[in-house]
Amino acid sequence: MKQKTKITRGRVVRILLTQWLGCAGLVSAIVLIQSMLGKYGNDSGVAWAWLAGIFVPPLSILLTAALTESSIHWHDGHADTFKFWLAFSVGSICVAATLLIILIEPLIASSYFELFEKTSLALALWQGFAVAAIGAVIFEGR
Amino acid sequence: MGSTFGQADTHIRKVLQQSGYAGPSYFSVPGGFAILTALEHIGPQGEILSDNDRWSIAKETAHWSWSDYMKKLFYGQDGRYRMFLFIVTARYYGTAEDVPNGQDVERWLHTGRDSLDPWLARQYLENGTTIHLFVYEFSMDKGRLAKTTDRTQGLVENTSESLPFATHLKALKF
Repeated sequence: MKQKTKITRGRVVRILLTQWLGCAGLVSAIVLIQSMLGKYGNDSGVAWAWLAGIFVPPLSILLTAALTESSIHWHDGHADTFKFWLAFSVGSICVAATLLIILIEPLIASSYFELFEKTSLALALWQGFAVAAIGAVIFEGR
Repeated sequence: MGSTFGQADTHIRKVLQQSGYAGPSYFSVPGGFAILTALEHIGPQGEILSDNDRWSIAKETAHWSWSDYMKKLFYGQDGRYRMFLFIVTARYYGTAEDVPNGQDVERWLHTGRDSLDPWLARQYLENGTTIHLFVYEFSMDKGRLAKTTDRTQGLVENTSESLPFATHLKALKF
């Protein structure tokens, strides 16, 4: 028998959306300031492309879930504990890694452009897990 | 009996060592050898920086501070760099036609020997052997010193704003 949390599915969607939107907003603010101050020269698009590749897929699916109408039965039903914590944990690792890459760059020898290239594949794979975990929560019983 | 390549090497090494250029790289060239100094971070006017900054290609510094961190976090890193190349040969070496880029620099820094070939060191210099000195000056644009991508073009020869040759020679105490 599946273990259910006391958190409703509607609330789970809001929590995950807040998690991803919050981190995307924070990282985007840093990159925006960096772009305005000339951190990336004429190639700030490289940074935004890297960022969009990480945040757009999970945010898209979460926004879709938040903005589309669902049945009351689904919305007020309790979320599966394991799936919720899986989505939250995998997402936390992904957003934390993204933030860490931005913040650690001044302390290491590699330039941003090197870091973006080296990390984009790993982050894309991890983000795939995150999207799958989010999807497992959103589409269960919907 | 004339001088040997080894003696020419000793002479060049002495000049480099007295100016703080330790551990240059050696390459074979037709009829002789070449010595290349490490990529050196220099001041805006070609001045020699402190050892902490002089040999840091990117952002490493010995002293950490919040203001330094925030500056590096939000601002791009620009800078001026140079390498000295001595070529000892009797063959003609004119002005370099090919401008090296960041990829060339990376390759040079990782493929040279750390000393002169012992066999070549014992050979006598041919008549007309000359020590040619080239100075490669680079500018770093927004921290780009990538290794394997086209963005290494960010480290390019700065022909329009390059410093006079005599300015660089001062670093060698000529």
